[in-house]
Amino acid sequence: MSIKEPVIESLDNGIEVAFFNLGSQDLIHVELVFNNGLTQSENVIIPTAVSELFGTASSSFKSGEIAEKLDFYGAFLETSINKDIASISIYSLTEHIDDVLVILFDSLFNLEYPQNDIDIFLSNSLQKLKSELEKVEYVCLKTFNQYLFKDHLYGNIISFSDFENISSKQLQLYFKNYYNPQDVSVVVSGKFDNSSLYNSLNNNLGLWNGKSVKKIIPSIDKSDTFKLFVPKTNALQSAIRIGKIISVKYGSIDYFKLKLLNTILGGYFGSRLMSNLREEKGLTYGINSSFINYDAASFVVISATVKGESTSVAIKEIYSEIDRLSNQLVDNEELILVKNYISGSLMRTVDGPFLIAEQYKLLSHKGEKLAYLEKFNAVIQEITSEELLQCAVKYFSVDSFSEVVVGPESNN
Amino acid sequence: MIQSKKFKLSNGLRVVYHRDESSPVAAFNMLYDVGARDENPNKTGFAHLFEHLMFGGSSNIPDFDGPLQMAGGQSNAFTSNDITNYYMTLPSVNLESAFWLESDRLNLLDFNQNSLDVQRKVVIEEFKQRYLNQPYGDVWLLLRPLCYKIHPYKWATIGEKIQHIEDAKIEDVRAFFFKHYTPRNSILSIAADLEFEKIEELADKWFGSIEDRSEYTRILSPEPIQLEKRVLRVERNVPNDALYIAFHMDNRMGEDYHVADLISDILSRGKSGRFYKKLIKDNPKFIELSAFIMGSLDNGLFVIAGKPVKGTSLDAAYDLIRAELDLFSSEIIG
Repeated sequence: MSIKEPVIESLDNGIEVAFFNLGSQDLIHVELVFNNGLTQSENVIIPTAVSELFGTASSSFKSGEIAEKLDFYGAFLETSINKDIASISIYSLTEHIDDVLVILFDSLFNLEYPQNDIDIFLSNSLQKLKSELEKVEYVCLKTFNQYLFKDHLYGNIISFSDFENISSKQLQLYFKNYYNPQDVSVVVSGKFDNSSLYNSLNNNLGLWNGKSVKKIIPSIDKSDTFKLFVPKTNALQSAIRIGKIISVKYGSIDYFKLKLLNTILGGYFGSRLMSNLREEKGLTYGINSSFINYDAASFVVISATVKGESTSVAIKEIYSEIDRLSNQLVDNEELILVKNYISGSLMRTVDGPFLIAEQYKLLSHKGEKLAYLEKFNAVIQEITSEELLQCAVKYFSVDSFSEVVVGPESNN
Repeated sequence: MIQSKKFKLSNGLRVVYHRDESSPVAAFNMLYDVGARDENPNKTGFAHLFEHLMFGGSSNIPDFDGPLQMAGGQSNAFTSNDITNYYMTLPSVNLESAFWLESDRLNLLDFNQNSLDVQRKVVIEEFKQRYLNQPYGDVWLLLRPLCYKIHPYKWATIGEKIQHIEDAKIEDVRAFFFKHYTPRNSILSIAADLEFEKIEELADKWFGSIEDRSEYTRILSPEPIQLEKRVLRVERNVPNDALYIAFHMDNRMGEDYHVADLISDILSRGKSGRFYKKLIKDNPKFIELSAFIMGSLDNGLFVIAGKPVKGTSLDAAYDLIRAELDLFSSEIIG
């Protein structure tokens, strides 16, 4: 598997643009990636609203007119924000890209947040939050993160009062501060004419001035262990999260071993947790384990929704699978299978120009290039069962895991 | 447009092939013309339960996913009221493994009591997780039987009730397999970077010898025309009132199908849709309001789903939607 790196050009003000001109269809995706996530604000509703309401209005277009114009061209605007990155994306037919970019640039440079739209967004989001709070999975996720990242911005929980008194001015200010040319890079993918697109970007984004005021978020490399039960009357099922913070450097050898170990434990359909809790015992519709690497923390988390009456059996089985990793060598057949599965998965992540651009975005945020995927695969293929066992002993001792269960009371 | 070539084996299996030279990954999709509409009314949810059993091993291969994962692949499936669809993606160089696995389970599934016992439990947990253990989860279990009195669309794919899944027997599994899982009742579609002749050769090698089992003729009673408005009010402990309005509409091949699809887009596609502009933004009476079609092969449903804001009653919400629909039918679209 060998993937070509993009053509990278700098705009006059230094903004880097990566071009993946690889498409077979006349489509184009332009993504502006900002290295500022939800953690730049104490109240996550502010960055969420800034992202969600981007493209509502500008000084040239009243609320709703931008959406109408984009729909007219068959284009669509997609914004997102997570803990570490915010993104503004536009998808367009290649023939309309010039007209569509004019709308995008206008939104960027002349953006407005009408108070009426903010108020509707806030009250609807609050109602949706109330609905989410009825779901055991949501409560479990929020509670788990709150305790895992105690006293850290990653653990911030949303309270109803966060939805109050958010003004247009606050959102404008947040946008000005955190969506700026010093924190952005651009990724373009699809089928297009490189030089005309470069000119269009340079004549607009290339003139953009602004200074980064990004706050560096302190990293968090451990947490106290906790075991919590949150009762949910009348629930039929329990949501379970079991996990821990792991102090490991992105791209280090331990990092790769943990990726492999996590896949064995719960990272694919045939994983140990799926085989045991679903395919042998029928306790759940699905269970998985993830090894997640935010900028300021890495952690492993197992999550499942299980039959209420079988909650304690399920928890016991999860711990026994964690424990088995440090007590028993992974046999050769399973090891080869998981390595092959990972190789195939890596291929799937770069299947087509838009997916390649997506991988590039994620990797360049971590300071890596696409070549990293080949390195990843090569390193994984060399890892031995003995090394995995040592890795499990080092990081996966059962006592070091924390747990949250949300479900019916009688079973705990 | 996507270019494709088609051919048919002598046992009736239809094959569609698209060559994609840009990707090292192949997609292998097997569609069976069987869904929840083909179920016995007393054994609903069976087509979907059966889908789970298709991963429980076949006559020569005890474990379906293991060899596929060994070949760097992954698979999944879904069941709808109309079809059951199985798909795999794997490195193109290993495509023959997909032929081997898929043909073996079509040839003869391993009717395995243990697999049935476990998957019954798994599906019951799926039932709870998706339909019972979350607010509004049971909407479709209620709306379908309100709209359909005769046609089997009256039950959801997951089944009418958990009891039906609990009662599934291994004899049912066997009978269902021989009735519906036949070459002539399926369509294989593949996208990969291989010569067309190679695909023909592989299809013949792996599927060619599977016998053309009995033909299933679908006879479903059509849903009678609905003559009166039907209303069901349900009390649940939910954070917000919700309203669902369904209209009968044309089938997937009918001439009004795309008209209905377009109407749903005009009403509710994104922020330029009428519902969003008028009833969420300008006159904010709803938190969410959407219109969509079910896309079913037999006569389907055009559905409007909304959650009114606090202070707007369900009756008032209904009237607001009705007014918008009346406007739609009385004015030419600009």
